[in-house]
Amino acid sequence: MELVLFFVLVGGAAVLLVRGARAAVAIALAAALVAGSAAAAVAWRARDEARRAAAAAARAPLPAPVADRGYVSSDACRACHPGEYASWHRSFHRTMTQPALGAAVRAPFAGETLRSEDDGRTYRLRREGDTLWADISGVGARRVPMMTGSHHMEAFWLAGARGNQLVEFPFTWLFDDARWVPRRDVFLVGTEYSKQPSTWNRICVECHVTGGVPGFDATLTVPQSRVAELGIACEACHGPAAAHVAANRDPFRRWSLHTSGAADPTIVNPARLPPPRSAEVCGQCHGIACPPDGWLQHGLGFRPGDALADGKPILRLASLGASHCRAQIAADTSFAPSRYWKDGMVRVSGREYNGLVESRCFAGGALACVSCHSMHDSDPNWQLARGKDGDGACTQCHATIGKDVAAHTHHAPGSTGSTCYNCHMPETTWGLLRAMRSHQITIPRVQDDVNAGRPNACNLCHLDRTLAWTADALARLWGTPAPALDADQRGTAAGALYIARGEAGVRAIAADAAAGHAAMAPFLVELLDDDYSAIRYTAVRSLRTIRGFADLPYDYVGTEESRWAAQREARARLARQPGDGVPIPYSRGEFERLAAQRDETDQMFLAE
Amino acid sequence: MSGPAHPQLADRADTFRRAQLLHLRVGAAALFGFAALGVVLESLHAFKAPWYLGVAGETRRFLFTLAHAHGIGLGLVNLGLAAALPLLPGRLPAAASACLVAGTLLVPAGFFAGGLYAHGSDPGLGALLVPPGALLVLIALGLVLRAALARDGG
Repeated sequence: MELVLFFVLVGGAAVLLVRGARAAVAIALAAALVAGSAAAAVAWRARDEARRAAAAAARAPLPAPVADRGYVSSDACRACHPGEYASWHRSFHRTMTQPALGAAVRAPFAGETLRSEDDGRTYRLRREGDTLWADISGVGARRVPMMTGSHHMEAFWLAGARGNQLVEFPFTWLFDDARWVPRRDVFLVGTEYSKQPSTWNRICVECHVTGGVPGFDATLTVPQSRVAELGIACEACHGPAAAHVAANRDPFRRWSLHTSGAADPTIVNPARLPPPRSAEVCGQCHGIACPPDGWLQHGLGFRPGDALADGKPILRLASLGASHCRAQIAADTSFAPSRYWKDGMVRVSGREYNGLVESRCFAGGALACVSCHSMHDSDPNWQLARGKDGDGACTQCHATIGKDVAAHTHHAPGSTGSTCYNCHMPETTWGLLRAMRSHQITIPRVQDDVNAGRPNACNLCHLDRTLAWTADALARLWGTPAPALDADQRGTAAGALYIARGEAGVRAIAADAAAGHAAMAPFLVELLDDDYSAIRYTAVRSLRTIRGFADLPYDYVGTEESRWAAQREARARLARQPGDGVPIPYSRGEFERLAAQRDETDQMFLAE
Repeated sequence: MSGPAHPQLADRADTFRRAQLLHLRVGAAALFGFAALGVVLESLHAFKAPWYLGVAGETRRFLFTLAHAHGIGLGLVNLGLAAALPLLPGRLPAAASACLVAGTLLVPAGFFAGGLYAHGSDPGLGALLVPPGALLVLIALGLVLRAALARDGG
């Protein structure tokens, strides 16, 4: 039909030319028009077919589209909400899962060869047009069709053998370091902890896409996964929008809604939901949950606006035994320690809803995620709403404190000690190779943190002070009851204690907090030989922020010998130069005495 | 004293009249047709036609808008030429009219056909008609310019 229309137009123009002028020049023009157009049409069609075939091949291994659940995709939303579409498009939610194609991929795939210690194979990476490939020794060429992440790192997925299975690629590309590292070395995981390669269809499909359906067969071995959209798109938070789109084709309806300002009942707007229900929209993914039975076949029934407790109940430490997943949890002794501090506070990133629901502020009923965050009016980095990236987030409710923040904080106005977030949402959760803010809003109490085995907010800045010093200050300035502390907690600087005696999660958080603290350098040097690669990574990152260590050569996933050599070099530098500021007493013997007390009977894995 | 017109002069007057009428008709038709297209496009906006407004329809929307704008613009050019013909000091060759009329068909219709069969961000085959159409319009405008710059009575 397209060709017919094309030649009708060409013929019509030629007739007009010839009839209009009947001159040789007009006839020549008409002939040139017909001949040129015909040749161009043939070339165009050939190119078009080749491009379509290439696009179809590139899409082939990706999950098929969900067509039966009322999803319309962000493309449809864009037509009427271009501003919201643009702000979402800038976000890392959109690019959480993407086809691994062309310029979207930051990793080189330029002929580099990587060797996996896990399977003993070599992986030679290359691009073929827009697509990515891995030539795997003993296996052959395998397509790398999809990737996860776009903010700090890129993880990749290999086309699997069953259904449209996608299997974890054993290496991750780190943006800050511009390098490949083994996949397990981006997690806080012990060397002896068995971490099997993930299957995307079993885990990531739950939250890293919109409207994901794992689509496993009855034996739960062969997936035919489907998604409404790759990445976390409009309908993940607003719900399936087919009814909304259909209803709003009527311009009078739209004008009526615009002028009245009324909510549109055909779509969910989290900002208009009651705060607890609004938070559940984020909590569907930003929470520790156990999906309902059958979800691996049929996907989740939860939709934004529904009660989360009905569709995907959140798992809180205190009520794990009452969960419908209690049998699985009981069989996995690492389940709780991988996710919670001993007092039930969540300790891994990406599970902020768990922290929120445990907070006293949330119990008041007025706090929701959108109180501080915004998808559409924020910087993509932390998605803090305009004006909520500082004390404004808290003083919107705590107005009295906001009038004289320093009187409440007893720290200089504008200092880090006078920032609400630092004391009430300290960086005690872990993920993506860094410490992140806890979303359980708490009041600093040394006793609580000691009981939970967690660094406390004050000592994450005052690393050179003891827990006893902190407890005294809290008692004197805020009337906090005095805690029971052992001799080391009373006599050793908290930073040193966290690194020397702390379990892996504590060491990682303390190493992160030690960035820029010259007095912590000897302790960071000790961590260069830690068993946990994530701790080594964090330690050297912080160490390099300290004068004299910026150029320290060190590879956190290098051989033991290379790490020992770097550690010797770092110790030599420590000996050559005095540290800045007040030093924290350090001796190898004392460090080893404290390290011997570490609670590391089990290998740890933080399930971020 | 007036007498019967010279046959050659009568022929030229007739040709001139026919050219004027042609551009008047083509111009009015283009204005009508592409204004109607504008109404259709506005309706597609009003009723949020996904085929037109969705991301996949972006190229189509752009090309239809170009078809509408070029159709109206070239319609006005034709009407302007019909009105300006008596003022031209030089003779306008018949090829100028033919090129302008053919270009008035090819440019907007090319955009329209290209949008009708757009594939993703690529226009359909019809877009190939735009460059030759534009060339024809350019030739016509060049000839009009030459006639306009000619010495009076030339």
